Order: sequence, then structure tokens, then C-alpha cells
Amino acid sequence: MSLNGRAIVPGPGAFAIKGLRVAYGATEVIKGIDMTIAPGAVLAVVGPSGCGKTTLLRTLNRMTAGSARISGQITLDGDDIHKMDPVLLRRRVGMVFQKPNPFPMSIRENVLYGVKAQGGSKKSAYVDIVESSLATAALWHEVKDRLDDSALALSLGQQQRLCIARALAVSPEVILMDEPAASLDPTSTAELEDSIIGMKGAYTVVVVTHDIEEARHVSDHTAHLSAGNVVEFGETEVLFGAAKSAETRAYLGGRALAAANR
Amino acid sequence: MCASVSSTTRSTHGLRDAQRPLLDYVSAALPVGALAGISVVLFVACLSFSLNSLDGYRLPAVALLAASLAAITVHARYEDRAWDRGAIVLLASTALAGAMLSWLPEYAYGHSVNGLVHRSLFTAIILLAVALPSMCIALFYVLGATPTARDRSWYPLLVLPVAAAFGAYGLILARLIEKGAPDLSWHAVTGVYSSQLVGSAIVSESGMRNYILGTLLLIAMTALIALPIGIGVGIFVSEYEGWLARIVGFSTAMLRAISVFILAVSAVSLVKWVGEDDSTGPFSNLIRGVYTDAAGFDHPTKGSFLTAAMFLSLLVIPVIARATEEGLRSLPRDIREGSTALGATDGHALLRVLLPWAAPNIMTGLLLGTAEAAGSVTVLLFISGNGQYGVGPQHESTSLAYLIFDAGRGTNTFKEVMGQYQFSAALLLLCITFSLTIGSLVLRQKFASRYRAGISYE
Repeated sequence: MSLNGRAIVPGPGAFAIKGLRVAYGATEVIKGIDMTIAPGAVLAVVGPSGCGKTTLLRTLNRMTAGSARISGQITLDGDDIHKMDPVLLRRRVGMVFQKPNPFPMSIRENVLYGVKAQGGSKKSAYVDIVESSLATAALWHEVKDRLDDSALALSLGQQQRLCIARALAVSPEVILMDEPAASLDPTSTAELEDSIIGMKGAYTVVVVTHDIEEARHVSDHTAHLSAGNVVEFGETEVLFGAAKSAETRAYLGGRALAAANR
Repeated sequence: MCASVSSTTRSTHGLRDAQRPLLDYVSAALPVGALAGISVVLFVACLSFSLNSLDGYRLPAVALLAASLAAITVHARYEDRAWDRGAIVLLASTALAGAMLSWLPEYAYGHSVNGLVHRSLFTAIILLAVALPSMCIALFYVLGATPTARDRSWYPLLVLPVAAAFGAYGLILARLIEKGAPDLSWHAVTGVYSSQLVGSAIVSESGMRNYILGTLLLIAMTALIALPIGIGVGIFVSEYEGWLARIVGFSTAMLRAISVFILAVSAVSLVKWVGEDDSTGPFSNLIRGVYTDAAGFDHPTKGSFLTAAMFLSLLVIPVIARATEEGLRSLPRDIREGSTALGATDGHALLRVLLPWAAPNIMTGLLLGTAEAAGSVTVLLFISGNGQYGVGPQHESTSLAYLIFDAGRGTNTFKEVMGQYQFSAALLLLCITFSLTIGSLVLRQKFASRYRAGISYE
């Protein structure tokens, strides 16, 4: 996947996490995590509420709250992210939030916001950037005739895919997603999952989710977190088929069972 | 409201059935009549804000009020065969009010300073205090004496004080238009006041042009000075943490609390300090103002438009800063995070997201603050002149407020020539501040739909 008009087309990035601990005040939220995130793959992070999924995600682009104390090492393609300028890090690591948060501007301006903020792209490339990123986010055909309408007029599902397109427009190496389908209906969720699958290979995607079926559907790897620790981490098929840990089997299986009973 | 709700079955009244229908109609008409009567009383009370004397209306008003309350009480008796406690309390307070009002002349004549105004105000307050609750009770019965009617009968208490304020404002406006509008001729707004000694006679011209232009120039310059500083302070206080931001925020709040007269004294002392050596250097000219006579000589004046605008902007800066701060703080956190996550710098976010978002607030702050400053221009009378030297940043400052004030108080010539325009000037000043206020509301709507897509996140 290449975005037209960008001088450099960086490949997907690889995160390596070593001995990561994150604490807010006296509460340790992440208690020593080691993990390598393969480039170009989709990693799903699952686990019960409060297990540190979102904190882990926000540590990766250094958007944890100001009071967080972080120890351990995180590298992106070999560079320590805590030695980088945070603004430059976020240009390489995009993020999609739980609640769609488009800017109160037109659809086009939303997509171009990051591009303009980072500079370096020619104005003549804007048209292509808008089309290709909206196409990857599976939104192009719905909005191509009304690019100058307000983004807030879109449905929630469309807004969320616009936020993905906005993150893609700056050609990041990694995209972080924090329960992106949390506020969407089943149809919008399916469309969102399709666009995540479409990103495989071109981007490294880390998606935090509560939805076990979604994790199984979109991801190559799955990490099961519980109380700030990684319980089990491996290929999705292996984890869902024959997880080594009883806790993971219970969590994934229990949820699957509950879904089957429904 | 403590009226008891009537029952719909009224079987035992001890009246013969043939007499019932007529009495029912009469009873139903009583609260309507009471409502009308109390409305008249309220109108008279509100009128006293613009009338100098209520003496002629006082006794009829109290009598009407008592009659209305009696009507409500009779109605309540007929409906329920019970005493309406609310009406009884009001009857008692009406008696008290009547007693107070009849004693009032003694009191007011004893304190003869503005005795008439004094007495009318007292009368109005007493009448309002009794008539407002009475109106609520009357409305309760007119609406049908149900629990829902009880809720809705509170309306007069909520609406009438506001209506009274608007009524008083309207009457003042009507008076201004009545006295000021006839004098507003083309000559009045384009002529320039001047007064010269030709031989032994004083030759003078009348006209308000320089006062109107001066007011507009002051407003424009004040806005130009206050806008960037106010926005900057607002951004600093809202976006930067730490002791310095807290100190700046606190000082700005304190600036709002400073009396306008302190500003006036500061302006005078600045002008005096600059003018101590009586020089007409560039800096001195800028602060004190300058007037070049026909022979080409510079003469210092009492204070320039620039100085006036600088001190006026001190009134506007806190308003804009506060508005900016509020606008920025109302931006939802997730939109802010969305910008950060895209690798945008704080500066880019400020220009593209934060300030557009705060624009409706900033606009309102600017226009309301400026309207307030336009009204507060009075405090700069100490450094204002009569405008005969023209209008410009370095000219001697003047404004409609100067005209309004000095046309009644100033030198004899000025009073004779410009006295006729006192009410016209007040009317014009009111129009200017009024259009600024209306403009702020319109612009707020426009900016809100443009930069917030008409959607509020609150």
C-alpha cells in the first residue's frame, strides 16, 4: 500500500517492549510487560476492564496522562521512543480513539489535518492523499461527492472510519486503535473490521478490544492481558485453538461460549 | 401558592338549583376580573420607575388591589366553602401595604431630599411585593385550580420582574427618542463644533460629527489594542500551567475589579507626567495629543485618542481574556487529543483547532467588552476636549460622552451652542452600544455554525 505523493513511503514499524512498568501514583497499572509487535501484522490486545490495555496502547505513542511513571524500554524500529521528540513519534505512530473525534471541519480538512500539520507534502498531492486514505478506510464511495460537508454530519460509524483515514493520511508506520468499535452498531463494526483487515501488510496495527470475536476476525496475533501482566501472547489461531494458560482458555472460551449461547 | 384545590363536585351549597348557573358564571368571572385589576396595579407600579410621582395613583391602586383580592377570596369561598389561606395572607399584607403607603408621605416629606422620587420608588416596591403573589393566585384560579395550574401560576413571579425592567428601559428609550430624534438633522451629524473670537464677537458653529467619529475611533482603536493582548492572555492562562499563568490569570481578574475612576486618574497622571516639560516631541505628541495651528505651530492638548484607547482597552482586555479562556476550556478533550495523536504541534493545534473553536466566545467578549468601554468613556472626560481640533490617533480625544456631559455643565459658549444636542447625543451613543450588542449575538451564531459546525458538545 503506498500513498501517492508522499516522498517517503515508510514501511510498517516494529515495536519491541522490554520490562515495561507504568504506574499512576501508588497504583501500578502495568507490571512488567515484554512483547515484540511484528511489523505489518494486526495485534489484538484483549482482557477484562482495568487490565491495562488502554494504558499499554497510550504508552506506545506517549499519550499517557501526565502523572504516569513509566519504566522499562520501548523501541520502534530500534529507536528508544522515550528519547524521541514526542511529536515526531506520533507522526510515525497514529491513533484512533474509542469515541469518534473528528474535528469540526469539512471531511477533506479532517483528512488533511495531519498532513498540513506535519508539512512536507505538496498541495498538488492533497487530492490523491484524500482519495487514497479514504479508500483504505473504506469510506471513499460514501463521501466522495460531499468532501466539503462538515464531518460532524456523518454517522458515528462513518466518523470513526474518517478518523482512521485521517490517521492513514500521514503514512504512519503503526496505527493504534483503542476499542474503535465501542460506539458503533454491528453494520458499522463490520465495515470497520474490513478496513482494518485492508491495512495488513502496509501498517502495523495494534487494536485494543473487548470483543473476542472481533479480535479473532481481524488479528494475526493476540495478547491476553490480565491485571497488568501478559497472560499469553501468540498467534491468534493458536491462542483461540489451544491456549497454554487456563486463564486465557477460560477468558477466550468463556466469552465464545457466552456468544454461542446467545 | 397555598390555595386549596377545588373539588369538581359542588353539591351542597345550600342554594337552590335554579340559582346555581348564574352564580357559577359570576364566580368564574371573579378571578378573571381580579387578574385584570392586579395587572393594572402592576402596570402602575412599573410605571413609577419613569414617573416622578405616584401620588395620584397610590390610593386607587391599593383600593383596586384590595378589591381584586376580595374577589379571589369570595371565589375561593364559593368553590370550596373553605378559606383560601394564601388570599387571607395577601389581604392582610394589602392592609399593611395600605397603612404603610398612607404613612409614607410623612416619612418622605420628613426626608425632603428627592422626596418625590423616593416616595414613588417605595410605593412601587410595596405594590410589586403585594401584587405579584396576588397575580399568581389569581392566575391559579383562572387556569382552573388544578395541580398543573399551580405550577404554571408561578410564571408572573418569574416573568414580571424582567418585564418591569424592560418596560422601564423602553420608557427611557421612548423619552430619549422623543427628545433627541427631532434634533437629528443632516447638519447635526455632519457639522463640526467650533468657537472663535472674531473681533469682539464670538462666532460659533454647531454639529456632532467629531463626537460621533471620535466615539467610533475610540471603539475601533480600543478593540485593536485589546484583541491581541486579550487573546494572548487568555491562551496563556488556559493552556500553560504553573505559577506564572496563575499570577497572570489572577491579575487579569483583579484588573476587572479596578474602579474605572482609578483608570481615569492614571490617564490624567500619565498625561501630566509626559507633559511636564511642555514639549511637543513625538512621544509627548502621541500621549498628550497635538494640535497644529494655522501658522504651523504645534500645541499640546489634554490627551490623545491613543491614550484614551489604551486606558479603555484595560477594561476590555480582561473580558476578552476570560472569554478566550472559557472558549478554549470548552473544547472537548478528545478533539484536542485527536490533534496531538496526528503529530500536530501545539502551535498548529492552537491556530487550526483551538482558536477557531473559541472564536464565537472571543467575538462575544470583544463586542460586549467594547460596548461596555464605549459606555464607560465617561471616565476619560478628564483628558477629553471639545473636539474642535479634529479626529485621529494623535488628536485630542473626544466622544459623545463628553458632549452629553459638557453640554449640561461646560463653558457658557459650549452649553449655548451644543446644549440642544444633549439628548440626540445620548440617543446616538445608545444606538452605537446597542448595535455592538446585537452584532455580538449575530456574530456568535455565525461563528458557532462555521467553526463548530453548529454542534455544541456541552
